[in-house]
Amino acid sequence: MAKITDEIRKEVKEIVYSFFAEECEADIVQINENTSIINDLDGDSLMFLELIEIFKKKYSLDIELKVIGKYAVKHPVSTIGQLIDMQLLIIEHENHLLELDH
Amino acid sequence: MSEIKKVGIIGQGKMGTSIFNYLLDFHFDLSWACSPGADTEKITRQFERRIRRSFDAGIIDHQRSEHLLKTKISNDLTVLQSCDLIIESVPEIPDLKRNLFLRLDEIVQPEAIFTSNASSINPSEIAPGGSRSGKFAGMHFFYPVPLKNIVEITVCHDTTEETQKTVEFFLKNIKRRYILLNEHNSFILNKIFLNFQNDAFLLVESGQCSYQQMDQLVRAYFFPFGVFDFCDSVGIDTMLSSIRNYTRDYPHKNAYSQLIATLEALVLQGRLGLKTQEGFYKYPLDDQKEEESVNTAEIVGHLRQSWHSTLKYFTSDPAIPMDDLNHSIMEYFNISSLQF
Repeated sequence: MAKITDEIRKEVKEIVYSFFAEECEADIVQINENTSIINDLDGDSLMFLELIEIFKKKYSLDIELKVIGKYAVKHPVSTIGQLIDMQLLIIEHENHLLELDH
Repeated sequence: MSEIKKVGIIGQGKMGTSIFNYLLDFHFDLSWACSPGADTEKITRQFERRIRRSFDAGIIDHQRSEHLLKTKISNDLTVLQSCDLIIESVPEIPDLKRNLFLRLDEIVQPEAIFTSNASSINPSEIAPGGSRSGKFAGMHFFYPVPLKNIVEITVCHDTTEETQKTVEFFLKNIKRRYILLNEHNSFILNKIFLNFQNDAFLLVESGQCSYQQMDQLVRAYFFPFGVFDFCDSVGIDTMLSSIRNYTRDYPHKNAYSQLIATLEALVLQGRLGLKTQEGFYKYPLDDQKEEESVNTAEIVGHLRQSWHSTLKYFTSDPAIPMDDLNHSIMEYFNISSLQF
């Protein structure tokens, strides 16, 4: 379980912004926390899964996709800001993510 | 049993893309045939960027990256010519699938196995016949493939044992659990949910609660998703054609006529669900409106009864291994117990 520092927060934000700018062929300056992943960027859950793989590797996370899937069903993500928040929770809580709901 | 080295995926919709991306993690030579109108240049650009990102992030090494970049992506079915296994995932239209397989039969090497990711059409309805008949089966994945560890294999009368074993071995290799079905009990998971959906729908129609209230109750007491937001997510048109196919030979198909009529009306209005921003719900969803309270105990009690009688009915088929079925149901509904 990692403590979320300002540095990690900044890094995650940068990775998410540049990922969606590149993947969705969008201008990075037009992406903000309220940007809708589906409506504004034409993104989908497969992109979310790829991002998770990147963060898993980058932060050596011990988390099963199934755990994220269960959490995401109860806490759906629609904006870039929500996605960043969820990635931070994943980094912080890893396989204990579902315990947040108890 | 044949060894599968080259896999061809057809279709670039949600499912086709999810299957393709999932298979990238395994050591096959992949070919991806997209529909004639698809922008394969854009799809290829996205694919290459993805491989580069995985390489940059240290998820794959240089050798793997080079291998993956040899993947063929095209609108032309001839890229599938030398495949050992074909996974078709085009829209749920019998004629479209049937004609596609007839063309593939002429293009793809004769030893290749053809599979369909159809979610409501049995293999024998779309198989090309002739010498390929024995090399044909249903292989129904669930979305998103990395998160849903279950696949329904449907064999038909002509499917050879070797084909069945090869498909089973392929799924074991790609770390997906499967349930083996025949054309009488095919698509069992969707059919189990359909019974529940229909009962929930009839309760709403009888005035017991609204669609939104029903979905809230279902999420609170049963599954992590609602009945009607599920329909919107899948697509009302897809749901309609699937339900028509499932119930076509049901002796009690009239029980579904009200639901079918409502889905037909939504389709006629162009309300196809999330993809058109309107289905049972209008998107983006408004803040929750104040609604009259409902008789939770009565509705949940009714749904529990429906769930258990449905399970009893579908699990009474001795041809389906109980362990596989129980696992499949829990995986499909994202639940850890079958008891509510």
